[in-house]
Amino acid sequence: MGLHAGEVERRLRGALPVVLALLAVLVDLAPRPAGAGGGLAPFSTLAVVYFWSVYRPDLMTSAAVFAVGLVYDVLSGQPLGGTALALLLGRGALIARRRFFDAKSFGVIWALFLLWAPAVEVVRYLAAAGLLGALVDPRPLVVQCALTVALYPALSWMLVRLHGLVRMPGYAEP
Amino acid sequence: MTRLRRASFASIVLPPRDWFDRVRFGGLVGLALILLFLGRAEVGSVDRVTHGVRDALTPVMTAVAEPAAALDHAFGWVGRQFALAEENARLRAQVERLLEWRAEATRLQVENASLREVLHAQRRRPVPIARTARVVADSRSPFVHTRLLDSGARAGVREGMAVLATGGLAGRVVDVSPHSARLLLLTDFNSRLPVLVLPSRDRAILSGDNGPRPRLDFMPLTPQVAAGDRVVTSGAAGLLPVGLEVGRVVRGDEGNLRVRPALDWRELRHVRLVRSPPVPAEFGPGVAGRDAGTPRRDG
Repeated sequence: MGLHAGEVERRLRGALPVVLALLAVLVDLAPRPAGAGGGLAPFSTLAVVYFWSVYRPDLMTSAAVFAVGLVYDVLSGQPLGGTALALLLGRGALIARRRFFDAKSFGVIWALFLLWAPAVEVVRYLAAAGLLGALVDPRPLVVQCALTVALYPALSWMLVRLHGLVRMPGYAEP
Repeated sequence: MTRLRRASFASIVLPPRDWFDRVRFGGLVGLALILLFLGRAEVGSVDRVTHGVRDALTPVMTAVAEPAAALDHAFGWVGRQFALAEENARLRAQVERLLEWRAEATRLQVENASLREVLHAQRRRPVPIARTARVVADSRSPFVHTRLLDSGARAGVREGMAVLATGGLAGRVVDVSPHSARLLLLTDFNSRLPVLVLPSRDRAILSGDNGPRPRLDFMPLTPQVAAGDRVVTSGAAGLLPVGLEVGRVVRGDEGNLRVRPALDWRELRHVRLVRSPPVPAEFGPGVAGRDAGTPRRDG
């Protein structure tokens, strides 16, 4: 029974990154009536997925990233699969270079986010443009991307504090 | 040399877990592409799944929307305190202007009633409101301008219903599931609304382009339209009721005619859904509720 309870706790702690990413989706899409496009706001889901894909790719799996992207698409009414595809490819690119992240400073991780976030947004833009059959004005996307990059340090600071919750006390991580 | 050979060997003989990850990754990318394609083809089974997910998450979004609105309100309150004096002066001026208008309205009302009596004309019916709904999610996107509403088919919401917000028309309902519905704002790229410009009574189609001010398309060859003219729904094709407030004409940067929507974006939290009018016989049954110029959306 004790072992079982430990296993449950381990799984719950392991699910934290995905739960936080889903929470970011809800916060991103909460209505803040300020304009036709909902006003300018950062895309914090992107930052949360990046953080966990860099530091705990074993917990932010491709299936989890796909699910988070799909939930975002379903709730926001955007082309179904567009965000999921963009996040998946983004995570794939990070995993392919995962050795690069070993013992890198925060500045380097943030600088990489500065390159990674626009690349993911471009995939999302192309998916939406392909579905709409037209190129919509990309300027709001550029602003959204800039806000997301600017938000990253604060979000990262919070997630680093929550990172401690993911680890089981007294157990070695894989 | 040895190091090189080892490296290439390792890249071919991956641990089973890595192979599994790669296959899963490829499968999910393929699935996302299929979903994108099916979204365009409007496959019913995909719609049912997305509607199910959306309905399940709508209560969660409602729970999140409430504190977010409270937080927004609190920030707004703090901001307003700095502008109280200015707002006070503006409101006083507005009250004075409105008092004049009220006197004029009363006079017109009496005159109208007596003229109706002479002509035996019927009184115009009020807008038939089907129900009110709460906005629970924003599209927050440059691609689509939509909102998720917390009421669906079970509450009587139907596709094609006009949606009114504070100030004027917000758009139309495009995608209804049992417990939620999607509102396509009049600024969305896919929105096409038949409108009438007053006082010239020129007809036009209001086309969204994801910008804040939708375009006036298909105007007459010699339109008698000027900036500042009122724009209302024309009720053409019987899809929307006639005379719903849409906005005011403005000149676009390219010199074309655009419309500044009358609705107050900051108050887009609760909306009223307007019952669609009966379909005129010439359009046949089944036209109402279908979106003539608006493809259905998933989500």
